[in-house]
Amino acid sequence: MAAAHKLVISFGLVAIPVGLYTATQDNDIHFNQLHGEDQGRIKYKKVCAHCGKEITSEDIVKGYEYDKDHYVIVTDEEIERIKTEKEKSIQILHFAQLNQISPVYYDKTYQAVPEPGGEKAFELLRASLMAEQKIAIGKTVLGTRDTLMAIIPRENGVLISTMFYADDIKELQKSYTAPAVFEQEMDMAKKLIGSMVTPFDPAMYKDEYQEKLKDLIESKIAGKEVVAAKPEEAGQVIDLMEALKASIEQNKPKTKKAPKRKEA
Amino acid sequence: MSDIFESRGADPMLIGVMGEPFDSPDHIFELKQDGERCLAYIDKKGVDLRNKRNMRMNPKVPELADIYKRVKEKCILDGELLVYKDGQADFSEVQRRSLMSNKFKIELAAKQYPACFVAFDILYRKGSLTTDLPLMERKSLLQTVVEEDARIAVSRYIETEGIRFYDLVEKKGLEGIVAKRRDSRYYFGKRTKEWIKIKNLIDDDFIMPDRFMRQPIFKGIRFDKRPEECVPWLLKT
Repeated sequence: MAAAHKLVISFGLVAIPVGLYTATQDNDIHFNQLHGEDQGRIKYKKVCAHCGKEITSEDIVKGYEYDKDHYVIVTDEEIERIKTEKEKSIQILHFAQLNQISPVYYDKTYQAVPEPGGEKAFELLRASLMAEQKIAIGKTVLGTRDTLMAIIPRENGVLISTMFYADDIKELQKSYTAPAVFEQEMDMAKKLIGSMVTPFDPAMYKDEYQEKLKDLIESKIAGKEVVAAKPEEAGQVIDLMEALKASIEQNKPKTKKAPKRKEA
Repeated sequence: MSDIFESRGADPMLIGVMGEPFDSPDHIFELKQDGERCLAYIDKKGVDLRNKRNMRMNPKVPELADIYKRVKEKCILDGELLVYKDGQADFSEVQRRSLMSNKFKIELAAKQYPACFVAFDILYRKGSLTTDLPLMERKSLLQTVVEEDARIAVSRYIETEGIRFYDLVEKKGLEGIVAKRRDSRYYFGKRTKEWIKIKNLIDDDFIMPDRFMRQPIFKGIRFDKRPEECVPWLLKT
């Protein structure tokens, strides 16, 4: 797997080259749309809603709808001009308490791995963040966007999470007035919680719908393939190698000299 | 722990020379299998398969998760990750697999065309390097350590008769053979002249379209005889 991004963390006087690797992946089943009659793939055509003509990408411009059916056209050059300069370093802005940040701010998580030469400084940063229970907040440019990031230490590595800006977070739509709770009620609730505490083991949870979907698809594929179970005791690789070896040994030439090879 | 096993610091030795078929009592001859070169770090707990760029291949080949059970001692094995299709190693299938990431697609592929690890060398055993032993001693060590099954095999070799072996391989349309000196040592990361590749390859002219040269993400090109089929091949997986 190739690094999704390569960056340099600048921390004090040191620069730590790191590769960011995606930490999660989509393992879900995705379907393609097919034409029921002949099972051809469904293709999309872009058609103008006004004149009905089929449109190619050269004919398309970007518009922003500022009012119903009213657009301003923005050209690619105009957008290009205001894009942030590509900068390959994460500037650490400050450090914060590890548990102080609301999960709502975290967007996409990457695993950060030091590039050759950066291991020592990387480990120093990780170990000291871990000891202090702090995370680093920094900014960099990913693609063309100015991105806020959190550098999060873990026991066995470092996670880097892109973050939402305060501006991206929705305000709470509804508030509720908190009724008073009695101490006895609290005690009971705490006891119940205490009795149900077990360490979090993510491997315990599975998307059961996806599991069933996989079973369904597998059984369909198996139904199509008549050659389901191949005899596999010896292994094809061993068979081939043994066959070659045997045929060399069986046909040992009577004379000591090997037969003359024809020019290739 | 700076142990080469723990640090996963071994680097495979590479073939340094290409040559014509020959007979020699000082060499052994092995089949050159068309797969992905891998080192297997094996102990009682499991196997860690690393390709030439030291990337973990385990997620791509879940069907090989249990091969460590067939290996008797903690060791590093050098070998080839293969996928057999219609009785022959199929490199494009290995390549297709190594580019997959969806677990379910990998599982399906693993059932349809299961991979296999063919070990041809042993570099480390029970806490110490075996790289200074002559090849033939490593070979017999390898034989004692691995118990073969459908997922793990030990590479067979032919003594002395390189020419007849090559003729047979050529007739079967296989990729080629490798000659190795019987007394040769193993040097990590080195391109060695003691391993000689004898390839079943028809000479031809190759054309590399300029457009691939300009794409920096492609680190290598897989050649095909027809230029329109010249496929850029992602070496950086």
